[in-house]
Amino acid sequence: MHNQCSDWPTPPAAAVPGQARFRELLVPRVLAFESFRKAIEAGPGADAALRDVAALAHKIAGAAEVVGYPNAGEFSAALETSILRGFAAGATVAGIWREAAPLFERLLDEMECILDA
Amino acid sequence: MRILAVDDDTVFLELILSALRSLGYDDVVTANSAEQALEKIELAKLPFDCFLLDIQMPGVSGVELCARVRRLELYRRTPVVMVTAMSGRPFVDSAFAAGATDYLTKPLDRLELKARMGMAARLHEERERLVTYARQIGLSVGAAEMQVEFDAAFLIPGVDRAIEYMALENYLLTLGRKSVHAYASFGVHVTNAATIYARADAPTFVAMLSDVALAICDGVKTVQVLLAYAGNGNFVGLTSRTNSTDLEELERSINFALSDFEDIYQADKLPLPEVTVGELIRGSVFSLSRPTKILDQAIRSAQPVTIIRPKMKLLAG
Repeated sequence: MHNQCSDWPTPPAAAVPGQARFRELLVPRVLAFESFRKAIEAGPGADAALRDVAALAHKIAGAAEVVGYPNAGEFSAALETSILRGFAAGATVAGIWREAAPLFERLLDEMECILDA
Repeated sequence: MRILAVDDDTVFLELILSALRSLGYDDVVTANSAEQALEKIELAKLPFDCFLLDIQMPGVSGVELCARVRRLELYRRTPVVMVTAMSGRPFVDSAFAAGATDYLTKPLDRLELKARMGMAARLHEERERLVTYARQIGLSVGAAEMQVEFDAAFLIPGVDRAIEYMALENYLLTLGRKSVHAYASFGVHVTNAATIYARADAPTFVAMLSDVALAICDGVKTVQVLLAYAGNGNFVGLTSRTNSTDLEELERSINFALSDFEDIYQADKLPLPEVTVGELIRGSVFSLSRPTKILDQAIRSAQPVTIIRPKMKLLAG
C-alpha cells in the first residue's frame, strides 16, 4: 500500500549536484531495502539485516535533503534513529522492527514517489 | 589546499566535491573507503593538506582511519575534519581522542562547510609558515615546532587523551549550548611553569608538560576525558558532568606523581613542576553564554589565589 506522495517541489536535476546520482541509486536502494525486509521477517540473520537497514537509511539521510528531497532525508533519519534507539535500549529485533516498520514503509513510499516524479 | 575526502556514499562524495569547488577548493581527491584512502595517501606524490573523513563507514571506520593517519609522521598535525550525521554524535568523542581537529554534520550545510574549511585552511597556513621557517633556519619541522612561546596553546605529544586546544573549543561549539550541560571541565595550572620555561630549552619545557599531562590522565582515573594545553602553564580537561573525581585528591595525586621525577629535574637544575587544580565547572542548560566559557572558567578557577594586600600609605614626616 502506498501513501500519498509528499508535496515537494522537484528541483531541476542539472542544477543540483549529486541529484542525478541519488536518483540513479534509488532503484538499487529500494531493492536492497526489500531484501533486508525479507531477511528480517524470515528470522535468522534478522539482527544483521536490521542493522543494514539502519546503515542504508543513514546514507540516505546524509544526502537526500541537500539534493532536493528533504522528506526522504527526514524519513530516513527517523528510521535510522528508531532502530539505533531500539538496539541501545536492548530491545528484541522483533520489538525494534515493530516500531520501525511504519517508518520503513513511509520511507519506501517516499522513494517510490521520487522515482515516479 | 590539497584535500582528501573519504565517504562510502558516492552521492555524498559528489555533493562535497561540488560544494568544495564552489568554495574555491579545487584540488580534491576522493576515496570511498578507509582502505582506498590509505592507499591514496601512500601513493600520493604530493601530500594532502586536509582530510575530510566520514565517521560511519563499513570496515575500517572514520575514527580508526583518523588514528591511522595521525600515526603517519607527515600527517601528525594535518587538519582532520570528521563528517557525521546527528546519529553519529556518540562517535565524535572518540574521533577527537583519535586526533580529529574538527567535525561537521550531515546533511551538508554550505555555510558550515565554509567555516570548517576556513579553520582547516588557517591551520594549514600555520603549518606551511612553520615549514618555511624551519627551512630558513635549517631545522627539521619537528625541531622548529619546539620553538614554543610560553603563552601558546599546542598539542602535547605522547599523551593519548590530549588534543589541541582549538579542537576542544570546536568540540564544545559544535555541541552547542543545549548539549554542553552534559559536560564539565576542570583546569590544572602549573604554578612554576614560567620559571621552568625561562630556565629550560623548548624540548625540556614540552617534556615537563607531557609529564604533567600524563599525571593528570593517571589521576583522573577515567578514559572519558579530553585534555588540552591552553598555554601559560594551563591545562583544561573536559569530562562527563557525572564524573566523580575528587579534584582536591586529583591535585595531590598529580603532585605526588610528579615527585617521582625529582631527580631528573634536579639533574637539569630545574624546579619540580607543581600544580593547582580548580573546581569542576559544569555546563548549564540555562546558560546563554558561549559553550566554550566553561573552559575559560576552569582555567581561571585553577589559578592560585593571590592575596592582594592594601597599599600602605606613607605618612608625611
